[in-house]
Amino acid sequence: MNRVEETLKRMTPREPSRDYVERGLSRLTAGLPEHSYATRHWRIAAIVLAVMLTSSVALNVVQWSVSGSAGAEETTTTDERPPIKYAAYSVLRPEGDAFIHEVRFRTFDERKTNDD
Amino acid sequence: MTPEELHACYVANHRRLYLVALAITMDRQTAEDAVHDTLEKLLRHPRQPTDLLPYVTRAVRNTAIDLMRRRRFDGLPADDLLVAKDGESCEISPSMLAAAFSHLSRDETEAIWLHVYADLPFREIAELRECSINTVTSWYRRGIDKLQAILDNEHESS
Repeated sequence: MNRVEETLKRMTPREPSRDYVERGLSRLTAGLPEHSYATRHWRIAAIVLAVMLTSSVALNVVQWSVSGSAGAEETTTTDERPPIKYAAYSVLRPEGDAFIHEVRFRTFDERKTNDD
Repeated sequence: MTPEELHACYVANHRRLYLVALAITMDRQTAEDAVHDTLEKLLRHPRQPTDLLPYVTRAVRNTAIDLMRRRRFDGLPADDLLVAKDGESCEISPSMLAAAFSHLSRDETEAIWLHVYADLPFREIAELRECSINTVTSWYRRGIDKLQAILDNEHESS
């Protein structure tokens, strides 16, 4: 050990302030494990909830826009121009000594009942 | 690392952590802040280090460096940073010695402070700095030689 090292050893850095240890302990207490973990879990839960809400709202908007436009078309066709269906049936029509097989078509309105 | 382990580590090593931070900041208040900020950080982001004390020591050092950058400190030691031990007579004043440190590089100053005042062996300093033990001893030796030259000049001039 040379002279400088001896001189260094004769001195000491200033001690920390009196409440250094207490302040450290209170910082440790302030960041209590339960508190910090709970905070962390709440944050995660809040983020998950926000993502779910956002995606659900987005899905609803998409569904609404799709069904809205489709619904508009359906309304037009059902109310003003009811769908007309065709039915094919065959008949045997007598003509002289023979029967002639005919295929006939008829239309009917699906919305009308048999009583109509 | 549980909060209880961190608590116990701080209680047992608060002085060492303070001195490690002081070796960087050269300012008492900033060194204390570095230790306390580190405790909070470690609580918020708990890890599982294999060896707690070296981990906390490194974290304190990193926080001290961050604080120095943020507060734009020059890292020069204050005149009253060193005091004579009780009953010890010194041929030079503590303020003169503190001023002499300003002529050393950061690495040299830190190596001397950690070895002399924090009682860290060179091997531990090398682990903390993530460098070879030879590098640390050469920083230390160069720093001591520089201090010797500075103090010799002071003696001659006075």
